[in-house]
Amino acid sequence: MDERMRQATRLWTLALPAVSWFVASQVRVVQDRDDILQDTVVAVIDSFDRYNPSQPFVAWAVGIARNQVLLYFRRKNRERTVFDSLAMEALVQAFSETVTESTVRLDFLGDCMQGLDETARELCRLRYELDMKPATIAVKLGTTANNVAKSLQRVRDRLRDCIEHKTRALESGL
Amino acid sequence: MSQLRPSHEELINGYLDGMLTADQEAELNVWVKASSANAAIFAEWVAFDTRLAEHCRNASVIQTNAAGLQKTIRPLPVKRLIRDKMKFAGGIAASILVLLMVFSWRPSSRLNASTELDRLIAIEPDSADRSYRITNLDPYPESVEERRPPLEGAMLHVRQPNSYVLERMFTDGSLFLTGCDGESSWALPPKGKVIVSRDLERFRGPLPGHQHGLPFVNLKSDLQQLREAYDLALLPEDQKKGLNGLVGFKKSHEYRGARQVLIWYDGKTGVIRKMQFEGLPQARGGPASVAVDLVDQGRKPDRYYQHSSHHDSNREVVED
Repeated sequence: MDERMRQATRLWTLALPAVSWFVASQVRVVQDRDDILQDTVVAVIDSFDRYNPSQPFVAWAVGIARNQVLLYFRRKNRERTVFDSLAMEALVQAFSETVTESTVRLDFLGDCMQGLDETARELCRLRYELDMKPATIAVKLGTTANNVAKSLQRVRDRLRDCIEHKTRALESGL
Repeated sequence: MSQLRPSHEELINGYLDGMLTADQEAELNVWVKASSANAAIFAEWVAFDTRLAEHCRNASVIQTNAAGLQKTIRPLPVKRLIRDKMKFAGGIAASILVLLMVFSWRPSSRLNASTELDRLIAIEPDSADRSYRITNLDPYPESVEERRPPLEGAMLHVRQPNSYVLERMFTDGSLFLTGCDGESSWALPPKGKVIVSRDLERFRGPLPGHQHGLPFVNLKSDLQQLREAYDLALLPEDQKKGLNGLVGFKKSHEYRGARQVLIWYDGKTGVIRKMQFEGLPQARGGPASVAVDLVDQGRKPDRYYQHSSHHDSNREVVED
């Protein structure tokens, strides 16, 4: 493996969480995210010689991902995206800066999932493993989409509170 | 969503579930771009939700494996990625594969990764002493804490099985040693009490890759855990140095440890010359990426791995 590839691989590994999250924030279709991610890594490698090392690599890579996302929407003939250029620029910045701290905190997610009750876990399974939207889950469970959405929000809040608690405990040396 | 004007958390949750109306999407857009703090809140929510989704999807894969389905190690395919077989959580594997393609890099046709790992596992480790230097590969220096010296420049001395000494140096030049002699593990700070434990893994925390028992301390077990937790592929043979290489990509977030592991080893003897860990867990600090290079194979004194060899008899020794 030559030094250039070694460096590119190493930097990409560090940037991948932020890039992945940025793409996920813009593109709600899970399968399409993979394609965009692959196009992004090719674009990163193609332009790696032009990367200025004095600039943060993560921000540079997320910027490339933004361009790929815009190309994706153009190909899909999407006239309207949720986030305009100003919002997208703000999100490029935000994701570039989030990565290290979020990665640390989210390492606690596995532990926190253990604390969920069976109902909450089933809801997560339907929503995330089977990729069902609240309306479809509602039909399955015999309730309303709104109730499902509220339940999901409560589960997320519970997990986030748990992560926050564990992070604070770690920081205070417990 | 509530009848009243939704809070930003309701908007974010609604976005994550695809429940927003066009007006609510517009409201979310306005809120996100209103300040960098708002954008950061949204970004953090997306990071959380994406990781939650990965966790739930990977949990089902692990349950499937536990039901007895064999998940075999296979070399990464060199052909074009198959779109609907790659999961989002496998993005790193996809990314690395595309990198390989772009650089026209092909795994060795002579060897199979799984076979090669089996060969390494089958080699009986000798009892020679080996010393490795640890290098921080992050683009930024490691943060230094009062009680945790950096890994950069640390020396790891190993004798199979289960004996090691890790030397880390504070900025003032004082050494913090941790180690194990196969019967007990110990921690020797620059000053104060020496702590000893019957738990051989008690002080392995600072060792990069320790979540899988890596690296090197119990080589056979380490490599078996590598096979369990990582998808493997071969690296091109470095004929000048006579080194073979393996790269491993962590299969699931359920497994703790580095996202990617690279190993270069002597093709004939199986002695590992270098390991590189990328994407190490950050929950307890330390660098995200490190290299561990073999620098010496000189014999150490017989009692080298006992803590008493590294301090005078006046030091108080306490059991953990």
